Amino acid sequence: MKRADSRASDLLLRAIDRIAYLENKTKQVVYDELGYALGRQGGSAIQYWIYHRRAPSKLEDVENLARIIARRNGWENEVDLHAYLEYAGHPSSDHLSRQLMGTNDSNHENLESEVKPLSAFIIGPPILQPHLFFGRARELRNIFNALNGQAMQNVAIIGAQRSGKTSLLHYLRKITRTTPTALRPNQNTIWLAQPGQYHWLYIDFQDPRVCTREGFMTFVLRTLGYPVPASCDLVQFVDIFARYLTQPTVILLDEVQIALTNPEFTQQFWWSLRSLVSNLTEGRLALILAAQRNPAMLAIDHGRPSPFLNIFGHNLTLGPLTPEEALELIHSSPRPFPAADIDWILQTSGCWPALLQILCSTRLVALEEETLKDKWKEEALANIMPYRHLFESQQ
Amino acid sequence: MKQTAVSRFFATTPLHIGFWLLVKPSAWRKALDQIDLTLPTEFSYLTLTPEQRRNPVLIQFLFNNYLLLVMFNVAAVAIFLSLAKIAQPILIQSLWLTLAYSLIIPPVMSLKSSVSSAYLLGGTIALGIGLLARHTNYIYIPIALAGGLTGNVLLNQARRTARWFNSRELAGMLTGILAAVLFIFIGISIISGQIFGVYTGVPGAMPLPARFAWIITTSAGILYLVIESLVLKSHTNKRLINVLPIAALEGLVISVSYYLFFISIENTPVFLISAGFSGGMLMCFLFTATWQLANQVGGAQAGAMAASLVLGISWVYLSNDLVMRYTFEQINIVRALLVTLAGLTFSVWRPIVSLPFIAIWNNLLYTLDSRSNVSPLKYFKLHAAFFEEGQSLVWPGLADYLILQAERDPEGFEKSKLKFSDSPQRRALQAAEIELLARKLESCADLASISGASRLAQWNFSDSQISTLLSPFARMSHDVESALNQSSVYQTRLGLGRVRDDLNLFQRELILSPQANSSRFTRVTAAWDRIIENKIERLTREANYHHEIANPYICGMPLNDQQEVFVGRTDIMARLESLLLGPNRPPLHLYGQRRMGKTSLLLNLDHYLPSTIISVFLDGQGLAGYSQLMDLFYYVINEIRSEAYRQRGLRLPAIIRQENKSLFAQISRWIDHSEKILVEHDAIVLLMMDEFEALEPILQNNKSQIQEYLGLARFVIQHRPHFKLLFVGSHTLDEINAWSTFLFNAQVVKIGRLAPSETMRLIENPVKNFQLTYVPAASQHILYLTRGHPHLVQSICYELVMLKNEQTSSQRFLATMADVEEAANRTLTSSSFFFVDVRGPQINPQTAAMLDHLSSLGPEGSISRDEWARCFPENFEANLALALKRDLVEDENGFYHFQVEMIRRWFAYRPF
Repeated sequence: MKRADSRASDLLLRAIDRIAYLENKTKQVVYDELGYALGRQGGSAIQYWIYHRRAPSKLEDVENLARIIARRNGWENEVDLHAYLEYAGHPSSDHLSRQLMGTNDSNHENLESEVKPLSAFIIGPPILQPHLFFGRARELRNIFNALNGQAMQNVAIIGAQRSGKTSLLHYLRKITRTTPTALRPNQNTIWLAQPGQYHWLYIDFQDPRVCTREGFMTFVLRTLGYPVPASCDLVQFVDIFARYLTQPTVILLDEVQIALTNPEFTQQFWWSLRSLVSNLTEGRLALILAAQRNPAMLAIDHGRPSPFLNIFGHNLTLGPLTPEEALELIHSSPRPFPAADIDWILQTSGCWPALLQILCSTRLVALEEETLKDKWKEEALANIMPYRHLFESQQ
Repeated sequence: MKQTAVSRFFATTPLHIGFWLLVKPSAWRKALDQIDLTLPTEFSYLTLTPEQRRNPVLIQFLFNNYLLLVMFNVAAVAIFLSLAKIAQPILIQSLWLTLAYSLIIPPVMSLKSSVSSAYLLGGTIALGIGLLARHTNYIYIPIALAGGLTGNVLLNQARRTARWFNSRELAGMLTGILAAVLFIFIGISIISGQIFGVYTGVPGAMPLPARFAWIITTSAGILYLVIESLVLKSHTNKRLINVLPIAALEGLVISVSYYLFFISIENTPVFLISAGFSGGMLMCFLFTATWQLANQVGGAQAGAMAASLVLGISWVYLSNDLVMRYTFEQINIVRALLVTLAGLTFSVWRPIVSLPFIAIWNNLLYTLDSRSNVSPLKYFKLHAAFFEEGQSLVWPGLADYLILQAERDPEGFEKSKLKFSDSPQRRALQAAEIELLARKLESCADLASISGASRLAQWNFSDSQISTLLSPFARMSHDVESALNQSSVYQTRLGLGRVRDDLNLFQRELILSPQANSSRFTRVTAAWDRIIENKIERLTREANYHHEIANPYICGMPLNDQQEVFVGRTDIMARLESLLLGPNRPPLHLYGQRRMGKTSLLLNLDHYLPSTIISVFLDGQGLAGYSQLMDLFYYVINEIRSEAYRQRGLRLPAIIRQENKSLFAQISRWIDHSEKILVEHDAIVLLMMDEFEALEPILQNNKSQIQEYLGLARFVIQHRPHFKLLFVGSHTLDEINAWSTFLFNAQVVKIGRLAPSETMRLIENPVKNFQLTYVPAASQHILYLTRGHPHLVQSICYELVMLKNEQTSSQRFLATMADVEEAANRTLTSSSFFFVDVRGPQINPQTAAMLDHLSSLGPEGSISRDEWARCFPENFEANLALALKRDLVEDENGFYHFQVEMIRRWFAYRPF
C-alpha cells in the first residue's frame, strides 16, 4: 500500500463524511450514490477504496469522483481537493482543483488585475476581466434579480453587434466570484445570496464544438462534470442533466441566433431544453441567451416558431451606457482627457461602450505620443466607422 | 557595540563551552561567529587557513580558555579532594596528574582533532583522573565518559547532515576499531618491551634501566611518528613533508615523556607529569587516529562512534601496561562500554531524564512572572526553551508562558517567535499564536473590527490543518468588509446574510471537526454570529425605510407548489376534481392560450385534489426526444410507479423490458395488475400530460401501432376507473389531427384569465407582508391593462417592483398610475417574446393586419363587424374566427375590440 493512496483514501472519507452530514444521509447512502454517479452498480467500489486505503486506479474515476464530490460540496476547501487529486496521481491537479472549486477564473482575474493597469481600453475582443467592465447597472440588477429567487428565471439579452452582449455574459459569469481587491472601488460584487453555489457555463454557438446537437450536449455535460455517454441522445441528455443537477446552474448561450437557424437543433431539442428548465430541474437551471435580434422574430422568419422562447420572461435590449457610466469609463484613463475631448467622445460615441473604448484608446495614444491637437479625432472617426450600425439600431 | 560583544564573549569559560557543546550547540556557533564567521563549527587548528590561524582573537580565545581549563581542573580537584579529606600526598599526586592531563590534551586535540573535543576531552579526563587517581581500578571510567561525551558532540554535528546510520558507516566504524586494535597490540608490544625480549611488566616494576627505556621509547616514538604523519596528512590534506615536523614533535614528546615515565621514581612529580603527558598523548592519538580513519571510510558519524568506543574501551586493556596497581576484570569492559554508550547517547536521554525537573523549574519561573506585574517578563529568559536545545518534546506550559509574554511584552514575543520558529518548541508557539488569534477574533466587538480582523491577524500558518481551520475566518472577515463597502443597504444586508450563513455552516463543521483547536473557535463563531445577526436585524429595523422590495413575481417559468405567488384557479380546480372523481369519465382536455398558467395549475393541483389521487406530471416536450413507443411507455410507467410510491407508498408492479414479447401485452398486463393494487388502496392515478401536442412527432413515427395503443388508452379510460388521463395543451382538437379520434369525446376544460378578485390579489397581496401599496387607481389600471392575463399581470408587477426599487426611499413603497404606465411600457420590451408569439405563429398575416387596424383605433377603440369586413374582405370570417379563438378580440353588441389592452398596445406598438 502506497502512502499516497492512503492519504487519498483519508481525504475521500472526509469528503464523504461531509456530504453525509450536509445532506443528512448515512454514509452508506452516500457510498451508493457516488457509486451510481460513477456508473457502477452501487457503492462497493467506493467502500473498497476507503477500507483498503486505495486510490482509484483509473484516472477517469479519480476525476469523476472529484467532480461529483465537488458538486455536492464534499470538499472542505480547494486544498483538500488538490491534495486528493495529487495523492491519487492526477496529472493536472492544480488546474482541475481550481476549476472544480470555482476559483479558476477569479484567481486568474486577481493575478491579472494585480499586474495590469486598471485603465487599459479594450478594442475588439470582449472584456473578460471584471475590473475593465463598465456600466450596465440596470441590466445587472434585472438579471441578478431574476437569478436570485427561489426558482431562477430566464433572461434574454438582445443587442446589436458590438453592443457588449458577450462582455456582459462574461461579466455575469465572473463578477460574483471575483474578490473585491481585483475590482475597481465601489464595483458591486454581492449580487447573489449564495454565489459559491452557482455553476456557470458559457456557450458560444460560434464555437464549432457546439454547432451540432450532440456536440452541444457533450460539451454541456462534460463542462459541468456530468457523465458523458459514448453516444449522447436527447433522452439521455435530459435524463443525465435532470439527475445530476443539484446546484443552481446558469447556462449563458451566446449568439443563439446561430443555433435557432441551425437545422441540427430541431424542434424536439428546443422542447427538451424548455422542459428541462421549466419542469425537470426545480428552478435550479436558468438560461441567459444573447442574440443580435429578437430570437422570436428570427424563429418566425425561419418558419420555426418555438415555445422554447416563451420561458424567457425577461427580455433586455442592450442600448448605450448612461452618461454617468460612460464618464466612469472615460475617467478610467491613466492620463486624464481634456474636458472638451470628453464631451466630444461622449457625443461621438453616443455612449456605446465599444465606441467609447475605441475613442478613448485613440485619445490616450494621441496623448502619449503627443500628436497634433485634433488629428486624433480624424483617426478616431475612421476607427468607429465600421460600427455606425449601432446608431441605426438605436433609431 | 562590537567591543561589548567581544568583552562579553571573553567572559566565557571552559564551563560555558562544555555546556554549549552538550546542551546548547547554537551558543557555541554564535561564539565562533563572534570570532570569525568563516570558522567551521568543528575545526582543528591545523585545518584552518593561514588567515584564520593568524586571527589574534581566536588565538586569545583558545589560549585564555586553555589556561582557564587548566586552572579550573586543578582548583576543582584540589577543592574536592580537600573536602573529601584525602591525605595530602595523594592530593598532591592527583593535582600533578590533573595538571599534566590538562596541559597536554587540549592543545594536542585543538591542533589535530577539533577544538570542541579538546575542551570536552581534556576537561573530563583531567578532572576524572585527578579525582580517581587513588582508585586506579576505575581510572578507565572518566576516559570512557570523556570518549562518549566527545563522540556525542561530534555525532550531533554529523547528524545534522546525515540522518541514518548505513552500511557504509558501519564499515567505516569497524575499520577504525580494527585499525585501533592493531595499533594497540603493536604499541603494547613495544611499550611492554615484549617485542625486544624485555618485559617491563606491569607498572610498579619500574623504573627501568635507562638503555631499555631508551630503546622502547625511541621505538614507540618512531611508530607514533609514522602513523601520526599519515593521520595528519589525511586530516589536513597537506603533503607529508608539511605535516612531518608536527608528527616528529609529537613523537619526540611521547618518546621523552615515556622515557621519563620509565626511568623516574614512582609518584615523583617527574613521574606523574610524564605519566600524564604520555597517557594524554596516547589518548589523543587513539581518539584522533580512529576518528580520522573511520571518518575517511564511513563518514563523520562512523568516525565519532568508532573514536568514542576505542577510547572508551581500550583503556580497560591499556591500563594493564600503563597504570600501576590496576587489576584487569572482564566486567570492566562492560562498565566501560556502558559508560561510553551513556556518553554517546547523552543528548538522547538527557532531555528525557531532565524533563520533570526542568518542567518544575519552568513552572516556578512562570509562577514568579505571572505573579509579578513586571514588564518585560523577568524570568522568562531562564526558561529551558532558551537553553535546552536537545529537547524534542514541547515544554509543558510554554504556550501559556508565550501568551503571557505576548500580553506583557509584545516586542519580546516577536523575538521569541523568531527563536522558536524552527525549533521543536514551534508547536507551543503555534498553540500560543492560535490562542492569541482566537482571543483577537473573539474580541471583535463590532462589524468594523470583524472586517479589519483579516488585517490585524496573521493567518498564514505552515500547518495546513490550522490554515484550513482559520481560513474561513479570513474569508468571512473579507466578506464582511466587502458587504460594508456595498453601495446599497440591500446589498449590505445580502452580503451580511451570506456571511451569517457561512458562519452557521462553519460552526457546525467546527463542532464536528476532530481537530483539537476547533472547539476553541466555536466561541469565536458564536460571538461573530451575534454581532452580524444584530447588525442585520438593526439594518432591517432601522433602515426598513431604505431597503428594496423583494420581487415575488415570476415571469416565463411555471409556478410550482413551493411558490406563494400562485393565486386563484379555485373554480377550475373544483371542476377538475368533480370530473376526475366520477366513474367512467372521458379523458379531460385542459385547454388554454399560451402563458395562461396551465402548467402552473398542474403543478399546484396536488394541493386541491383529495389524497386518493396520485398525480403524475409528464411534460410532453420533455418526452419529445423519444423516438420509440416502447421507450416512451417504459418511461411513463416508471414515472407512475415512482410517484405512486412517493405519494402513497404504493408499490406498483415493475415492468421489465422484454424485447421478444409484445409491448401491448406487457402494458395490458401491467395495467391489470396495477388496477388491482389501486382498487385495494382506494387510489386513483391521474396522468397529467402537459404540452401533449409535442408528442405528435412520435405518433407520426409509429403510425402503424398508434391506433392500437390509443384503443388501449380508450379501454383504460372506460374500464379502468382508477386510471385517469388529463391532457393539457394550447391547441383545440381541430388543430391536432393525431389525437382527434382519441380525444373526440374528451371533456374540455378551458383555462382563461384570472378573475378580477384573483387579479387584484396577485397585484396587491402576492405574498405575505408584501411592501408595495397602490393608489387604488393604479392597481385597477393593471387590471385594466391585463384583464387578468396571468403572464401580463406577473410581468407588469415584476417591472413595477424593479422600477420602484430604482426610486428613492420616499417614493418606493407606493405605486402610482405613472409608475404602472412606465412598468407597462417596460413590459412591452421585457416580454417581447410573448408578444411576438401572439402576433406571429398563433395567427396568420391577414388576421394580424386586421388586428393592427383595430389597435390603431386607440385604447377603447372598437369596430363593427361590417366595417371590419369591408376593410379586410379576404377570408374575413375565417380570420375573425381565428382572432376570437385565440382570445384576442371579443364581440360586444356587434362591435369587436381587443380583450386585453396590453396586447392591443403591442399591435399598435409593433417594434419589429
